[in-house]
Amino acid sequence: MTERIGSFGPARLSRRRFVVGGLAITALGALPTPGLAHTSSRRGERETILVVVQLTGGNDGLNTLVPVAQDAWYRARPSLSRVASGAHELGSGFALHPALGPLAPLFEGGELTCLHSVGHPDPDRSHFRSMEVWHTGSLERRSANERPTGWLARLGEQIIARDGSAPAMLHVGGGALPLSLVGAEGPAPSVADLEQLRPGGGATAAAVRAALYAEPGSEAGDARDVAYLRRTARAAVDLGRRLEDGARAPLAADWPRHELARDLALVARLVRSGLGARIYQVELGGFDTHRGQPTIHAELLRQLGGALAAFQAELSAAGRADDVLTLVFSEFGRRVRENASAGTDHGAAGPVFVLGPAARGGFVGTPPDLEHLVDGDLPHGIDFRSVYATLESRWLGLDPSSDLPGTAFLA
Amino acid sequence: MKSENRFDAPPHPESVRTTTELDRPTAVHVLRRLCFGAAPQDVERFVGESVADAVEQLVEGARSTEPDPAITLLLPTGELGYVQSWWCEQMLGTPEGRCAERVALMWHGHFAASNDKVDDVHLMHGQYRLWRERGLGDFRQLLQAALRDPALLVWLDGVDNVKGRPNENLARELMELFALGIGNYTEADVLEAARGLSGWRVVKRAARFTPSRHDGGAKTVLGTTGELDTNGVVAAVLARPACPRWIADRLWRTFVGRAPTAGDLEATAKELIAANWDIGRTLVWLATRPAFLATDERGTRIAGPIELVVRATLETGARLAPKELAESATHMGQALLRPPSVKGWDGGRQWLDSTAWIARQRFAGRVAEVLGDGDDFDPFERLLPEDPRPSWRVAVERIAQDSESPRRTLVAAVLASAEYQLQ
Repeated sequence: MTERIGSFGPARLSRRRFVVGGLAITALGALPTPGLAHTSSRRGERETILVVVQLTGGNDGLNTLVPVAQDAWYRARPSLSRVASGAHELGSGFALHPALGPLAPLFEGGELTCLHSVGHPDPDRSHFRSMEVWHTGSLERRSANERPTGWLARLGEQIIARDGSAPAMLHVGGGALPLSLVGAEGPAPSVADLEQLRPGGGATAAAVRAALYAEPGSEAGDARDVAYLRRTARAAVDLGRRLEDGARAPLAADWPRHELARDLALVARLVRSGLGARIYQVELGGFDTHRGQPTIHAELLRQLGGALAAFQAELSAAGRADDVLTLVFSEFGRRVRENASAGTDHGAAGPVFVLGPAARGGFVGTPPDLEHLVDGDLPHGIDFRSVYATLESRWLGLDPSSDLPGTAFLA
Repeated sequence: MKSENRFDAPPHPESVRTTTELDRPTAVHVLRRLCFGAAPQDVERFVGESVADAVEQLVEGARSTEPDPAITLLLPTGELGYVQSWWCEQMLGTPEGRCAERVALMWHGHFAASNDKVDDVHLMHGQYRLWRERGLGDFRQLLQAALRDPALLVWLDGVDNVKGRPNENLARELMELFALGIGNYTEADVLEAARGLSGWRVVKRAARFTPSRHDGGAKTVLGTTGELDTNGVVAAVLARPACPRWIADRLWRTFVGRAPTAGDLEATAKELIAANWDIGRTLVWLATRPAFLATDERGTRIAGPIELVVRATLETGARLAPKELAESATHMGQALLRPPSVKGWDGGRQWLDSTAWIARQRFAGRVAEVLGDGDDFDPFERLLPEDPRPSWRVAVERIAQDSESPRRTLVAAVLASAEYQLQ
């Protein structure tokens, strides 16, 4: 189920993604040489975009992508297995939680790819540690003095170094900036809503800013940070203006009204606006369902399914669906056996979803086997770093952060 | 004045500067660095005093101040936002009280624990009390207390550090971040120290030592061998010469705003030991050095979000709710009691990403908006006392003349200027 990706082997290039000089390479006989993968994402040509949706708190994968054909699942979850009745059959013994109805047609149409049992060899039941692992893309335990950098930020910095385009990456949402977007050069911009990036004031304020942050004369280029501060202030104002233009693009899809939908709608707007950012991350929190899981989980998945379906519809309406892949992950799955409070405790591996026509659709990986657990947890089948590697090198055309073999989930 | 040469002067100079009477720009500078800033009447209080007297009053006076006890009514809500707002309110108190808060904020960044993991505002407030009440005292006692602080025990998994199953998280950060710095200990020291620190739990929000969970065997930490417990491990750490240097470095970065030279570091570490590890005395000494006072040392440090919002509020007299200060600082990248990692806030240029810059500009506009009509002052003289004639002044004054409220336009401009972000 995995493949080497270090060399951009020709046979593995996607039909859809590689565009050279405006010509889509569709025939296997006309494959580009290795270096050409990089040209596919240059400015002015079609740019591939990665959107990461983080389910914070540890999503219960076994009640999301439900193994409806396994007796062990019913035995382990006498109360939580009630979701089986309304679940949306996908075939191969799996079904989507009843609240994920909007995703079923996407699976049907090959736009939703389900990766089984994604995790890593050193699972840890701490939210903090697990999130750090996913955010940094590394299992290394760093001393705090070498500040870990986020995997998305490293990608963004590669893009900026190559194309000089900023912002290469953007956090969208009201929560704290995730570590995934903190790089060596500093944090990525974070936007809760565009209002936040409007400096405010009318024409007067704009004129004041222009005067205030003008390039200092030779005399003012002093040892203090004044010149640096003015330069970054100008860049911030400029970013705010570009984002503001992007926000004016009207929405075509029917969007539900909740925070995740609002965040993804903003991402869709910015993608459509041609802002040029290649990487986005948004979050949906509340998945730490130690008690009363049925109600909470259903509501969260309802939001997730509704927002993702609207997002795909929006991109399709804009003709941009082929350019965007959305990765849905959580820091860990939950224990197989339900607890005494109609909930589940911290576990290990769980499913990852990839949305977009550029992924192959269907299932990837060995289905979880509930008869063979490790410490009561699902062991991982696919290393998340190999999922990253594929997204990094084959989707975004960048240097991967690990030399792990990739995972074959692209079309 | 070359900074490398400063300590070529006699080690305890009754330097000319310490006896000099404070002029207004110098008073503003001292108050900004030691207690976030000051309202004009506070500045007047110190103008004309000697530098030494002013610093002595602030730091010594800080020891006897107390924060507002109303917090006990807010904690049961469990809402971190209330605690953040309340803390901001404490930072607007008397100059002496603010000095104690500034020191507490330094320790919060040094021992950076976050409610994101601790997940209990009672514990977070308990830790704040530690920084607030003992932050100016003997660092040896502060470190001993920190290693028994419930929030820190949760934050660094001290509660999971059990005999036979050591968790080295707390031991590592003790050496790496709290007391020594990397390169001043070995991996073996970390492992051995972890054994010594084992046995703590948090029960009913209090740290409890449970002998059956403690590894009482012999171990060797940083050259000290014995059946070390928390007390012994911390003592072994404190005995290393790297420890006073590490703390001296923290004081320099916080109050002088840059890393000290090797000579400065040595002198400050020596001073700390001579003062029996008293942080307050060491701070008084540091704040009367040329490196702290000299005009070319002023305005060289990028103010953190909390420093900026508190300073702007104090200096303009703007009527902003503490909640608004806390939220503005959060937008600028500094959520109190929620530092981004165990290493705290990086500070310096890291403060100014795009969103943070816009947040500072918006905050400037907001302050100008809530200014009372009676608060008529020259924003350049008051807010930029070192350099009231920046290059952009004429251009901005011209724009302001034609605006709806020239005074508010000017105040917003000064607060949003690059120059005002520095202190």
